[in-house]
Amino acid sequence: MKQKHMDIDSADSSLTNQLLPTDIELWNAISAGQSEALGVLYERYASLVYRLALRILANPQEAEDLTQEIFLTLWRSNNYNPARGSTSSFLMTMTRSRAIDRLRARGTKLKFLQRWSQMMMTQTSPPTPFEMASLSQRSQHVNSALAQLPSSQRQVLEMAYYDGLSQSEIARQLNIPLGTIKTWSRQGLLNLRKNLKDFIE
Amino acid sequence: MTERELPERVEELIAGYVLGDLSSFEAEELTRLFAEHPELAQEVNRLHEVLELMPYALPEVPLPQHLRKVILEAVDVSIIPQPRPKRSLKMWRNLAGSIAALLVLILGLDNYNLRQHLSTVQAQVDRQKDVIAMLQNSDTHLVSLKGMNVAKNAAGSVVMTPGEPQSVLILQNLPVLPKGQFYQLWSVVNGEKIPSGQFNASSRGTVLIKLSTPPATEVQGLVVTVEVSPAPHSPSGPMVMTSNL
Repeated sequence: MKQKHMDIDSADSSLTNQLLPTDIELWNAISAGQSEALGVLYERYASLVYRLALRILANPQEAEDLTQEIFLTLWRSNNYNPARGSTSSFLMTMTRSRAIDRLRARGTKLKFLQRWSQMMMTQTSPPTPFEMASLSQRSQHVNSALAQLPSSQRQVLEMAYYDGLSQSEIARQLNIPLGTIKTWSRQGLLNLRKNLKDFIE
Repeated sequence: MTERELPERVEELIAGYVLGDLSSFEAEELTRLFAEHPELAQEVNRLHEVLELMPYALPEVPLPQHLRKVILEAVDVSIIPQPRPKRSLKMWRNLAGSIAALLVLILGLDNYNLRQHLSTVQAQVDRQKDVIAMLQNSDTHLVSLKGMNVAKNAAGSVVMTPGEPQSVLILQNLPVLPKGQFYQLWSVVNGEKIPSGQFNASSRGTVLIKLSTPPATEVQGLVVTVEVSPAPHSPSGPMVMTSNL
């Protein structure tokens, strides 16, 4: 398994990537009922979906169930729209919102982060270095971009993102004024973009 | 307004929007900004993409070995795969198909002329290339035009691409006008009709021409009138075609 990742990450990755079907091609194949395409999409994103599900649900069995649910949903009702963003962002939004749903169903009193993605169409653009990169290259970039954030900004971003906490809930938990929390999280997000700029644009 | 020039305040509001933490006062302010600068929608989307990158930083955990198999087996037994083409894609194919058919028709009908006039051939090929290039652009959209009054059998499309100063007009079954009269295309922008070029139908009632139009994103509708003036500022002749935008 490790060896496989090494191969994908080798200097030939750009060449390898050119030969692999693009996400869009996979979505089209899934729409056409080709289950192998779902297999390829699984290879590409399941690990990320599972990681996120596990982080939010903190329970391997539930994370596994949710990962299965996500991929079966993609198969049954492929509702991905490339004009609305990348496959990765679509899957993360879907996984996070369903995982937090499950948390709530457990009786945890958590507020939803609002309105994440539904709105706003955008135009599709040429592939960015991010889209061409392998999973572990992506992880490396995002990790280092997050590590450059002041720890306060990183902490509130993570609390909002993974725990589905509202800004006022975070303010209460950390005993810090709401205004400060908002500034930290907004600046955190903007800084994150700044740190990732060369990679995603 | 590009990303680099975005004032800090606007950036901060958009970040708040993406994070879902705007106060009602801020939400109002941002709603107003969205109305004034629709291009900010892209900014929202970009920032949302950034936020959804966060899980990449999570520590790697091995996937349960059997999961892939379980999912793919569930898929294979659940349904005999049925093609479920996306509606938009299907519609696009249909539209592109009819445009292609129309092109074949026009080019086919004009074949006689093409053989006789090499320059016309070149012009036709160039225009055809233009249309194909535009059709390949993912941002391109087609606006269909329907005939009315004296041109009630006329039909066709305008191929528009955001960022392209010119649009391609493809029409058929348009009556040939008497000498001294022209077809005039108007683009409706903010309720006003902006003159967007004149043209005539070929002897077979077809049109394939590239005309300068206002930015595709601003055009709310398209109208064709019959005019006698070579450069009218506002429509004075009868309307013969209109878009159903």
